Amino acid sequence: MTASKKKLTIDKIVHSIFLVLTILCSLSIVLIVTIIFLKGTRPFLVPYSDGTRASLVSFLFSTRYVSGNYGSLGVAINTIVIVFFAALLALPLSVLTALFIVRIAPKLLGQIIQIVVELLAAVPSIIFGLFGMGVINPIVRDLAFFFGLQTAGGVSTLSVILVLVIMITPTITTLSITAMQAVPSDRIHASLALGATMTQTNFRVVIGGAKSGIFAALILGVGRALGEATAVSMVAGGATGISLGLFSPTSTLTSTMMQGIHESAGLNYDIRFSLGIVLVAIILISNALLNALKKRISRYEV
Amino acid sequence: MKYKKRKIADFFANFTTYISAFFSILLLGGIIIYILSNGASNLSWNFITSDYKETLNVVDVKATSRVYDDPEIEGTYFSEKYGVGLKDAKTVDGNPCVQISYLSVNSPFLTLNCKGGFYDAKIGENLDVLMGISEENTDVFASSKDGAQKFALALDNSVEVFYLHVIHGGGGIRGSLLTTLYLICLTLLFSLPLGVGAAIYLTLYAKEGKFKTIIMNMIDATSGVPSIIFGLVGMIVFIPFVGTISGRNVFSIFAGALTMTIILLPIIVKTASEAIKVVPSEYLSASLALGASKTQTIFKVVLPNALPGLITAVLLSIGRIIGESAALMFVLGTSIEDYPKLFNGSTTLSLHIWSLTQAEVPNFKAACAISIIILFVVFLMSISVKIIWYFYTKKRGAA
Repeated sequence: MTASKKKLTIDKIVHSIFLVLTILCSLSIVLIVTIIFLKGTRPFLVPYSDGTRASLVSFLFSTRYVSGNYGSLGVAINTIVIVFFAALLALPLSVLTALFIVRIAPKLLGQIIQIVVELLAAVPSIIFGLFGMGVINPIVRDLAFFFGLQTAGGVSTLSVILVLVIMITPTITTLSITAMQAVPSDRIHASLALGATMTQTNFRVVIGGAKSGIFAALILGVGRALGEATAVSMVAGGATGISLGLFSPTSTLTSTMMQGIHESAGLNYDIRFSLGIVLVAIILISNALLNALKKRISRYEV
Repeated sequence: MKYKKRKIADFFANFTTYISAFFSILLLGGIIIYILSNGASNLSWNFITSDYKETLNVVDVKATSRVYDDPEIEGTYFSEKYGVGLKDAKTVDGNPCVQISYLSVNSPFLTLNCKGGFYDAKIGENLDVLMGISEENTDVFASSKDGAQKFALALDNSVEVFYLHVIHGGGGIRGSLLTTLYLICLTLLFSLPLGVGAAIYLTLYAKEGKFKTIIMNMIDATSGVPSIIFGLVGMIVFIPFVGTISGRNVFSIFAGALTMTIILLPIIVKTASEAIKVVPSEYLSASLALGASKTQTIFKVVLPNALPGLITAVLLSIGRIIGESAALMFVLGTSIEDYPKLFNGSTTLSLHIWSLTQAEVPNFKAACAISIIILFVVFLMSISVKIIWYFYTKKRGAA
């Protein structure tokens, strides 16, 4: 009797230990949100010891990000435009690759390419950055030279877009593959029986049937592209405002946050948390927009 | 005739998918070829084990009257006056240099005069910037740019060398490799109990309902946070936290491990939950029916059976830690250390690459050599995860 009582007490203790661990795990997001919010609003509220203080109006509406006038609008616009074009290029590339793997390629070849894509998805961003610096930048530089333009060694908006395309294509492809594999074969057979060719079936029925999955993949890819820091700042170069010429250096939210990482106090440091709030806001808004679009599109699903 | 148009349209549609798929292969191939072609020649045991910082010794030496025998080694230029053989070599990070390849017995190079004592040159060390006086009392100069042959000649020409650099090592990645290992061990130490504990609670204890859904959503939300945000938070929270233990508010590996822990938690919770779910519920029921308590069942039945799944969580974590750069930059710093300490800043392999590429003259060769190591580990991890998971679920499926 005492033995089983002891067992029950241990059970209760272990239960509460696991509960505490779970709550600790879930608290990390609370910690992150609180810190970013507190630190990010700090520059606009109380002046720092050296008397400096950022103005919320110029932070939100000024496009120039320099010491003393921290305007986030310019780098935010750069980020949005760059990620938009990266997603625009990556989406068809990923969907077509996924279609090839799932429907068109012979089984063995399809599996090999799937492994290749999955390995690419696992490559760390620092290596994409290195590849960008060592390969893409020189290509962009030569391309610019071909058009008779000057670049700063190839660091440019175009390089950033290309690096991001390379980074998010494997992510979108892997998830699109899963979505396409889930399209019921009845539908494919029905389409074939109605006289559509295999290719028409693949493009209309398979892609059509997987579109909500593809959208979910796109949301993840866009999130990754918006938050990517290392690779982007390795090829971006740096600018202080809106800079979207294909061959001119640029800055995104993340690459601006990476500048001067050795500072640890003061306005110049804390303003980065404000940029963090802007970044998270952009990620959340783009997720919401894409989700709304996804709902709208999948409403017409059969 | 009517179908011809359709066939052409189909052909072009198919063709686009070929091109896209080809692009993926081209990309992986391109990255691997770029990294291998630049880095492979640089990747050596020396590169992995030596210090990053070179030590420079300024020495002077006088020739003795005796003449040393030339050992006549291929590629080595021998100075008979000083009994030292020199060859053209490359430093660990790929720059050309003049290296000591042979030292005669009793060579004056074994007892060089340096500031405050003696320095004994060793085989494998590099020489640079020689200034000496010849027998005719003229100046003799040589630098590593002249190559080993001219350098040896300059040595032979001088009766006294009053200024010479002997450079030991440099360019290696041992410190960064050690940092990465420390970071992996510490992070797993923190994150495994937390993550697996949470996974056990969520799969075996928590009842379906609002509480469970909220907790799951909160953990999921962490995985969507960009890693640079983790870095900023880590710098604000964990560096002062570690500072209260060590007494110094500086970058530290310890703070890095804490930051990595919150990055990894969602991954570990998710993988471990799936691993625990695959354990057949009959096992649990059988254990409970035999009179074991829930605690005993969890530790003796569920966890051992879920072990392969838990190992995949560890492998995924290791891959993530090795590749992470943006978050760690804010808590580990970017200065490369040869003797990493838990309460000091240092660089992991990824941050080492970052430091090399941010230098005024980026050293792509060394960066690519490190990338080979990183890619190898990351690919090994993701392939092992696939294999382990395949056999694990297959076995359960059969049971």
